[in-house]
Amino acid sequence: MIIFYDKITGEITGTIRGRLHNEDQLRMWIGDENENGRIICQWKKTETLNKDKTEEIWEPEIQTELFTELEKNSSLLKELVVDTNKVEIVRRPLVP
Amino acid sequence: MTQKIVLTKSGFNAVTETDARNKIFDSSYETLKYFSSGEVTVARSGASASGTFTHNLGYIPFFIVYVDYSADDADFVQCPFYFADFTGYVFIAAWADSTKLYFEVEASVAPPSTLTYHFEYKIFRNDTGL
Repeated sequence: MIIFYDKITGEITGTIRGRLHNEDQLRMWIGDENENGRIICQWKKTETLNKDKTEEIWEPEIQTELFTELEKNSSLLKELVVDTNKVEIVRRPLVP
Repeated sequence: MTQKIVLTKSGFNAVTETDARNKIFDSSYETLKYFSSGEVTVARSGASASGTFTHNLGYIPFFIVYVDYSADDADFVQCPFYFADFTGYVFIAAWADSTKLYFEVEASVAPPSTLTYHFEYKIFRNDTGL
């Protein structure tokens, strides 16, 4: 998954879904390139469960837990924001 | 002889069947070639707002865009979407050129507070030739 965010506010402005992104997708952008940054999360194969390689385990290369959850539940995106200092996604702070 | 892939329904011969209704797949026919999908959010504080997705394909691709018109749940409707009543209107649309997809919201009045629109796009490799 590629996440685009506002460099100033950290608000997520869009995504490109998928586990592996090729050159064509890396040339894509959401919004203005000067105003928006991006976080690229490629997935990697971590384990092959059997000899004929039909069962494999994949996981995100970064922020494993959040990106795994995000793949299962895309509406989670509404609850996330980007920490622009660390350049990583975090859960949006609860407003009292 | 042209090479092709044909899968027929049970009981039909893939080598001789000519009726497409009896086939599951036939590579003689053009198909949509899925390329990419994702989400774009557009925040509207005035009467209109827009967002872009740069695809850089060099041609106008086949695409589909949905918008979540519910504030609470995920209720998606295909763009363009138009709603009007005695209080005003809102028009939500998406279109493309050879480099970008454009997402636009236009309403009769500015909202009391910023509204966020969630667009879902699906883009295919197919060149529309437009």
